[in-house]
Amino acid sequence: MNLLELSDEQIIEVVRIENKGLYSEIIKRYQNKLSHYLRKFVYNPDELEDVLQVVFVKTYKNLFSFNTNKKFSSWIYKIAHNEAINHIKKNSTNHQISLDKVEYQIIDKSVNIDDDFDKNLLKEQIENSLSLLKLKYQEPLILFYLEQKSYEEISDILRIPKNTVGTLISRGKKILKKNLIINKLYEQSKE
Amino acid sequence: MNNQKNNNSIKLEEKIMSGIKSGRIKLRSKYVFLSKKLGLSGALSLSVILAIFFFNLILFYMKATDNLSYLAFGKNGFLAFLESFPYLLVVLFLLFLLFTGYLITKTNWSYKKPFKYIVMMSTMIILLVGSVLASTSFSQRIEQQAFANSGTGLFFKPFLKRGMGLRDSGLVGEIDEIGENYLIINTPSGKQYLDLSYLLSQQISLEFEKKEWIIAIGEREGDIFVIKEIRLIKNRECPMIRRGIYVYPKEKSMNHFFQPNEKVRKCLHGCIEINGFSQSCFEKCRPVK
Repeated sequence: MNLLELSDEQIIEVVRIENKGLYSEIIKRYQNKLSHYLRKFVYNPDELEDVLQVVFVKTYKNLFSFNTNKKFSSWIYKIAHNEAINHIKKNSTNHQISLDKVEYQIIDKSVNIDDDFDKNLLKEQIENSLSLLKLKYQEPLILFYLEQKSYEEISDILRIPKNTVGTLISRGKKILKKNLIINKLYEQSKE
Repeated sequence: MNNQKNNNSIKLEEKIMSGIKSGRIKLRSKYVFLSKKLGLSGALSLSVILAIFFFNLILFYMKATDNLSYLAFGKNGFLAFLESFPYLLVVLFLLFLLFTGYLITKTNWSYKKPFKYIVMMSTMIILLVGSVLASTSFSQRIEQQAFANSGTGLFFKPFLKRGMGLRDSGLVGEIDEIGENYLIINTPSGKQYLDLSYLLSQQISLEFEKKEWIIAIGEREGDIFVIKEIRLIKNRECPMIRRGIYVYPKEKSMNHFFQPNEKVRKCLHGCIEINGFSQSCFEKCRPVK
């Protein structure tokens, strides 16, 4: 059996019925992806590892509740999303999003604020503005731009209608852009 | 840094897999999820059925009792309408409607659709099925079981008995006796004495016959109901109250005076002839317990 040829859903079928050891393949496939996603909500690396562990344990325990006709990735992201929200609720202090270079470029391109803006400053501003966005806008923006999820997948992960996903992304983008422009004007007035 | 990251990844994988292999981390049985799913579906079905059922009973109650008939008196009848309104049924209907909405949001398919759309659709279905059910004899069977103290309908007696209760600002019944300035009518709660003097003082001409049905609004003053407005009602109006008089076994009267024996009746008639229709006659002739 070539593991690479098996889909996530097929692996889950096998884990459930005969070979629990195969769950390690699921961990391998999703560890980096989920870690990348959760990092937007859980800044502390130790806490991130704890949350990630909880996600994989919960996923395993609840494997029989997963419908193999659906997409496994959306399901595990949904669990990760719920854990991230739980973590934010428990640690009510504001979390600060940190973007890597590629992520920053994606957001910069999609928001398209201004070419002559100080790029280093802009990265910081985008991180701040994204962190200050309401969670309901933040989540779909992160999933769409940074996790490259489709509207359908975001709808499955966040359990909201597909049309609402589009609306939240578009509104979130507008608010983000507005905040960045206000910040820019404020910085200019200081100079 | 990459090496550190890889090490962490391997550590996490090993930690989880060792937990699985040692049996510390176990798969939850599929029957747990199955029973959860069945429980949710069962609760949802029951909630929908009860919402339909209570909506059907509201419609039936309004159609079969005097509740809506008071509105024919205009704003003067509004108090009697409010007094006879089936609050308990409405509250339960709304509770089950809300509970249905809540349970729908817990199902797997609902999040794909806008919440407003789901609420609108489920409300429409419940109202539609409830209306269809109200046009069948289903509710009447419930009523019959409730008031004949038999069958499962008995459980619904608390919700329907308000339909036949005594009211302070409205009254429906069959004329049993016609006096110069009073009427005695039969109601499901026994005989009621109606004072017509207010209407006569307004010089309103009144013509009644025995066995005719009337609906009236006014005020209760002790044992007497002082009528402010009165009208005859058709045969098909207030069927539950008609059945309350003729079909169902009599409940123990709220006021024993309203089921007078011959002695009381004689005393009352004599007193009314001498003193006119007044509360003092009722006080004088009231049987001693």
